[in-house]
Amino acid sequence: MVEFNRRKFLSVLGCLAVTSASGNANLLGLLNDENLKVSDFEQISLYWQHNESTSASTFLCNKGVDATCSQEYIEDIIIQDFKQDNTIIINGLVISKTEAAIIVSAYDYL
Amino acid sequence: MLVDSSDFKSQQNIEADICIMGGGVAGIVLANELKENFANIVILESGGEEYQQNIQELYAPAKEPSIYPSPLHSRLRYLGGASNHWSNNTSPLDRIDFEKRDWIENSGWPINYDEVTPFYEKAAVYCQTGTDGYSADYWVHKLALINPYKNSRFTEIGMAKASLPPTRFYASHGDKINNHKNITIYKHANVTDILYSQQTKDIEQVTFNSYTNLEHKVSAKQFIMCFGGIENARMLLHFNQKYENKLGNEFDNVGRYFMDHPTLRAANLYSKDQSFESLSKYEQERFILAFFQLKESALREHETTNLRLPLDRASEYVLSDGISSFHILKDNLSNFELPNDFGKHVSNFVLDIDMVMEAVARKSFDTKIFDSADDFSGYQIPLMMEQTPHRDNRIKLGNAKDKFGIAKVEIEWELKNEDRTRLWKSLELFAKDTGMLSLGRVRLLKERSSRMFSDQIGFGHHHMGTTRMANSPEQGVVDSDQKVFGTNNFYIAGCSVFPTGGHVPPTLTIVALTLRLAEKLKEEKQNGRV
Repeated sequence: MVEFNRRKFLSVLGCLAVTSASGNANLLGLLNDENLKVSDFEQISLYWQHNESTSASTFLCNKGVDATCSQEYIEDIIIQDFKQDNTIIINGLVISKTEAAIIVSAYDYL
Repeated sequence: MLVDSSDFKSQQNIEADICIMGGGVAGIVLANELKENFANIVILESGGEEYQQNIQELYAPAKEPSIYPSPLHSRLRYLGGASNHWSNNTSPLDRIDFEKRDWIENSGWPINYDEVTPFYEKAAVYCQTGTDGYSADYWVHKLALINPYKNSRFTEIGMAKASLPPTRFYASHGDKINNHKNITIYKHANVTDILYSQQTKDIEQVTFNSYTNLEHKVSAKQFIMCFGGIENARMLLHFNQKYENKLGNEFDNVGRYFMDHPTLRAANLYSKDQSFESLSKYEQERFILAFFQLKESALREHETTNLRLPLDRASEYVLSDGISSFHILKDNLSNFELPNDFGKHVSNFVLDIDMVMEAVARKSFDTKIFDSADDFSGYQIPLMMEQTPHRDNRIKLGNAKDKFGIAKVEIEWELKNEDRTRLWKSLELFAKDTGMLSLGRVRLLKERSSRMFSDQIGFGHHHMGTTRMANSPEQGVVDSDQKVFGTNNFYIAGCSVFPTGGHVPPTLTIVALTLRLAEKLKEEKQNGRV
């Protein structure tokens, strides 16, 4: 029997790429997540382009999210997003806008 | 006493105080409740004590419904009725279910929650699920359940209980009525006709056929129809053909507002939190199941309908988008059509090719390729939803007839757009709570809608609303006492009288309403009206 988990491989590969591109290891926890499909990345990016007036990086900056933030700090902001209905639905996946902005910044950078 | 009417050699004229048509859940409960108050109770049951194919076929519809399943398979036409194959999953309706909700067309019962709740405890005794109620607080504490949504905005726990093994109503309660001096059960007694006096508005007589070409008559003071949600409407439409719709159908309401509880796998919960699995427990020959639902405040604020949200542990294989996209592509391309989001489905298919291969290996070669396909990956949500009562969803009589000359049913059913919209709205609220509590993320499987709402849709097989309870004949078929409009002594029991169905299985409420009806009939007798 072949023991092969393609998702974990893809996920690790994706996170390595994003981490090296953004230089932010703290974002790993968000993106190393099997609930994200590759097609989600593009859809989130497109959503941001068409629906948000500020760039993802400016959005993150306004939220005080940068490469020095701890995982806990970012998670707290995401929780606040969900509390305040700052969410979007991409390919049916309900995520916070901060999560989306992080993904968009990483995706655009790549 | 149990009498096989197929043994009759000549036409019988039977006299009774109470004639109960149908020996299923409602019929059995009603007879048992009335037996000390009425000296002569008759139950007419089309079937016998066991399944018989030739009798079951009387449920066959005139033509197979396109999406909705045939009642031929979901009902059972013998003593005990559908309780002979149910899972005995019981929950009470919520307070809000009885209310007129401005955002739900045709909602609102003519009775309120407080008029039904006194009967739930005894109903649970009949269902053998215990008298310890359905309070989530009680059960969470008693069974030390972990409620991951304890501090949520919209989500709360609801409780269901089932006896193990499931209660078969005739097997469990049959002795109490079979051996009682005041009750006679006629099996193989298929009701075919009714005699209604337009002058007195009384039902005077019911005719039944004993499968021997002999027709027999039952005269009684009160008649109660307990045939089930589809058959109640079918037989009432049949009776009305002779009486110009005087029996609760002057406003063309019989058979309309047909509802079920659609069951859908409309969302996945991606979470590594395995505390969700401690939400069901076996306890004293019962299965206690906690499920998620929306709080009343969320339903009001967001003007939506409730969902029963149990969680099923799922593997990568089960949650695979690639397999789903593969089916969507296959279905569309075989019809020379491109599906919506063609690119996305191709992407899902390609990036999930290992799971598609796994599916092919499992289905075609009965073998596995990747062990990791069975790794825990999250939860499916096999939800059950409330359906809006809609006039166009209906039971009507077709042209084909059964062996007794009674028209077979045609079923027109669809899940309307407003229900689909509210489904996604309700799931979004659940998804927001899931994110807010850092429990995981929820994906609404909207991209699978085309299959989800057609060949993949499931049903609770809860046939509700076809003889709905209302304040006036303009709005319904029976009054708040379940008496058919336009009659003095003709009642209907079962979930065909539900104006709305909530998001939980109906049997506990069927029994509760039947107990309430029994009290009304006893009152009528006490007041000298019987």
